[in-house]
Amino acid sequence: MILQTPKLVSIPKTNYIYIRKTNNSTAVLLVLKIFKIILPILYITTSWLYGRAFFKDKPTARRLKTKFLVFTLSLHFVYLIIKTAELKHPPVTSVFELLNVLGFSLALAYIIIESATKIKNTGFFAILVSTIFVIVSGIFSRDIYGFEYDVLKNEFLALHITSALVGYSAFALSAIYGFLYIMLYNKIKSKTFDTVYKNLPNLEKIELMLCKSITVGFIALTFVIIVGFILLPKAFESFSYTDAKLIGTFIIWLVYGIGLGLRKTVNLPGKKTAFMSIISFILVFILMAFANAMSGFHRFY
Amino acid sequence: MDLLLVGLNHKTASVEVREKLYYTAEETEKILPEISRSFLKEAVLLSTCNRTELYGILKSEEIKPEQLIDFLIDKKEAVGIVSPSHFYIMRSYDAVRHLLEVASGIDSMLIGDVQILGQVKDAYEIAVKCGVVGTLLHEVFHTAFRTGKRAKSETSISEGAVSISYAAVELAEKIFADLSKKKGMLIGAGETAELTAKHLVAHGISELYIANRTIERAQKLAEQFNGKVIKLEEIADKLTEVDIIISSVTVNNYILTFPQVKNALSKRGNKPILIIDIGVPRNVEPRIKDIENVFLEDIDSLESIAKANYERRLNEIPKVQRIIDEELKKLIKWYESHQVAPTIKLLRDRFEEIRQLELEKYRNKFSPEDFQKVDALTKSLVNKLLHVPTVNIRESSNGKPESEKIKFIQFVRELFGLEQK
Repeated sequence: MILQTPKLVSIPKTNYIYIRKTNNSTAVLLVLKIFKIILPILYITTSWLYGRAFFKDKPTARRLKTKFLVFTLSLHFVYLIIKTAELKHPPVTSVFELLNVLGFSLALAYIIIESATKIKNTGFFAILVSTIFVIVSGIFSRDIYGFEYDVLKNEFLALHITSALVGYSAFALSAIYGFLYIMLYNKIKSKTFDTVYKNLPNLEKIELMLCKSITVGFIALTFVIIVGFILLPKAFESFSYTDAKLIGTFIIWLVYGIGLGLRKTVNLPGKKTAFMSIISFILVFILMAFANAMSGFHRFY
Repeated sequence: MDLLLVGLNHKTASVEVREKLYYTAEETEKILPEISRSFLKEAVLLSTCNRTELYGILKSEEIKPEQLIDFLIDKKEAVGIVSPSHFYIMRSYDAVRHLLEVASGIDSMLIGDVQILGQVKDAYEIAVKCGVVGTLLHEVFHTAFRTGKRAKSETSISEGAVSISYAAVELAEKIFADLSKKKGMLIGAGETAELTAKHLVAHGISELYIANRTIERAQKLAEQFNGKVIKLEEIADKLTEVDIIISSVTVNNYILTFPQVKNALSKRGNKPILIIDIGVPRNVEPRIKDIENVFLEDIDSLESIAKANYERRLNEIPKVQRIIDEELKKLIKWYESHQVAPTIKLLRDRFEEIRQLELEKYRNKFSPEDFQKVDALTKSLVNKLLHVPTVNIRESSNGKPESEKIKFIQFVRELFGLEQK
């Protein structure tokens, strides 16, 4: 696919410092505050329902869990729309805002997989991670309204951010599937045939979903890097190839790339692949935390 | 309700007794018209390896259930082996509840048995074919079918393998996504191993190798399962291509050793392999279980899977009971609505409703005094119109067998559109 490069020339050079003061409606701000309280509660309830269905086989939880997740996701979507409208750019200016969107995209990715594969028993773990993201984001994100970041209004950068969210959600899912794989593997090896054993899909299916998630994540991250490398120098005056976030992202991309390559070449067994997916995702977290702290142009707060 | 049940099952009779009183489909077809002539107006005979039960409506009050029991015993020439003490007798809603429990699998020897619903359906079909099913048994058995279906779909009463051979297949399905893309190998020909192979073939396993000391036996099994016979010496070579191994041969040394499996696994690209060792003494070197992606299971593992599943089924019984309660309530409601008194009341209510509606249309066209007169006139008219039908419904139902009575009431309800109400 050839990128439409001529359009990129027209991107105005901006700096994150270049911001404008705007006026905000108090009513909308109040709505956003209410959402900020409600969303974690909804996510906790959804996790609880998925947990009851998975560990206790409760029919009511089994019946309601997906409906409740759809409801939670719908409200979360409304929240993101209102917030975007209020900020006049996507809510991705801080790590905690990003975590909130990541929580949403992870839950969304899970529900797409659930409806596509009809495997409804792995939800607890994915939704639990989403819930943690949303709670952490709710506690630590600072609600600073009234400033516009021109750079974030660019549609190509929106594409860059969306791809990053898809990529990291896919990596989070791969880590969850890795965890489930190891859990089921150990249950079979140790002859523990309990409810968890009964409710999990088979090893080959989990492994397949794990590999698909990594592949989707890797493709998305490749896209993020390509778009980023073309766009960012044009968008930021203070752009640097040695920026911590760029290096961090490149290392993550390299780790997952090597993992995929190894799997193909040396027939990596499922359990090792599962371990790698978990370790890689932990690495994503550590690298991103460092990169965010050390990044120059690539931060907005 | 005049429903009667006489029968015996695994709880009241030993297998020797049950097999003696087992009626095949052909025998059932022969005996039902005879029962219908002598004892019952309607009859369904359910006979399986675990039970023989006769559901029906007595022709007259003079006929005793004990006569039916003696008849069933005599027909099978089982006097001396089967005695009336093996039988239970149930009436009315107790008999219905029992049938619903049978159809939903909670009265089976193996709780959640999926075959029983089909057997109940077959018994009903034979009775229909013999022309001995009336309105009541039709409704009762259809309630049973619905209950069985609901129990299966709304609860986990039939979920999970509860036999050792099926547990092996369940285990394989927990490792592999698609058995039709996997190959199996059967070493030896023990009963459990053979049954497991049968289930694997039924689940679509792509290829099955059979290795046995006696080639003739192996060939027989290969014909049965559409498999391929291999020599015992070829087992190690086949490890690179087979995914599921069931071993149940009597040997002094291990038939599969650690180095053999370890070597084969690297050759097969570390793809998982499931080995089920049900041989005594063990056929497979135990430390094989330490190899990554090798799942070595024994008879104890299979037993524990079957046991865990069975316990889960037992926990589902209260849920099935709730479904039975619901369906029984619906049946009672249906039955009571097909009695004479409620039907007459419904008929009168319907006419009164029509009268009131028509009267309301003309309320403003009459003076209050005239309206009262019209009200009295229409009331009297409706009463007179309904007098003869009311008397006839009562009289026509008197002395009629229950099934015919229900049929007649059904007709009246349809004629006056009372069902829609």
